[in-house]
Amino acid sequence: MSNSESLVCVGLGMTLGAHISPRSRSHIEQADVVFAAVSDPVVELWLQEMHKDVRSLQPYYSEGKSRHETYREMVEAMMIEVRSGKRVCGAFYGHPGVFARAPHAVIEQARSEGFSAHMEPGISAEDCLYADLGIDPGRYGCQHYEASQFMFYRRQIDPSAYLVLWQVGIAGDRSFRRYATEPAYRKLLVELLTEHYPLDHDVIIYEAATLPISTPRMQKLALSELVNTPLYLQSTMVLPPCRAMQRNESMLARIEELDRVLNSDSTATLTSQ
Amino acid sequence: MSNVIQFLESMGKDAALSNMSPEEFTAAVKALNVDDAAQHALLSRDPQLLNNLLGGRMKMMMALVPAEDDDQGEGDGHDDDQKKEEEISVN
Repeated sequence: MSNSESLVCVGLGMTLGAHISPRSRSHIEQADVVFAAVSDPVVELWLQEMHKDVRSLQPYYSEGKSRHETYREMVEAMMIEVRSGKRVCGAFYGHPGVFARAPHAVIEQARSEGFSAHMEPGISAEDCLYADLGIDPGRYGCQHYEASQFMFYRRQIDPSAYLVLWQVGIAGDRSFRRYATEPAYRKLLVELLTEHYPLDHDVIIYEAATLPISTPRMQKLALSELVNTPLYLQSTMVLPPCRAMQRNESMLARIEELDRVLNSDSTATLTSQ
Repeated sequence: MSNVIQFLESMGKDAALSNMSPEEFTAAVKALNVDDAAQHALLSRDPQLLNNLLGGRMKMMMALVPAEDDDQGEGDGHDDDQKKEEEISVN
């Protein structure tokens, strides 16, 4: 962190010790105060050994309290220290800017008040998912949604691409106050998904490993089994494609025509020279 | 840095340590200068047990993104709760 920088939000990656970048570690060590939102209590202890003033953002969470309020309080806690002239580092698990509201919000707030602020990327759960499950998002394409948002809004689903639903353990929570939703909500999610996928379609529940002694959860099950499968805040559901990609014949014909025109133009140019 | 956390960090960042065989892992843990309880927690690869020994938080929340902004949607649980309370007071 440079002396003139007021705030930086860094990613710790998902697995203790394995993913933190040298620059992120340096930002943590050089800050005056570090705020932490991590995914594993042992990771929090590890972070505390990197800096003498690590303040956990965990106390802002509370069952029954709106997470909107929690995120506002996290931002304000960090901003108080930024305004007091301290060099502040927000250390978040995974990537601080992926499926994370407070890091984006606090950077925006700091900049709006004239402070220098930036984000350092980290290795996200999404990155681990691709590595552990052997999925290349470029092969068929990949859509990502927060599971509840996927339920609340009409989306254009492409069943010839991967579909990844995050925070599936709280799917359907309209209150933003719960940390688990009942199987009945998941039943609605399954119902919604069966507009595009068969009930016996194989899906994967994924949870990245947070400690080097742990292994990731990679549980295959039929879509119909989702309702009664134990899910947690960190659970992600991956739906592989259930349909082959459909060729866009009209676009292919237009490209072919364009190729033909451009090739004939270049041939004509060469002939005239 | 505590020996247990230092060991975990080494396992995380060192390619050889992260790919130890079960026998190598057992030998590495037994070579650590930690008490029997910590050795047992590491050998059983039990994060909960390990956390209890290290004194970490009992519960961690890790939801960092809401499904929608707080000015989106038709209502939230708080409004629903208020409506329910109003209905109850009317009845």
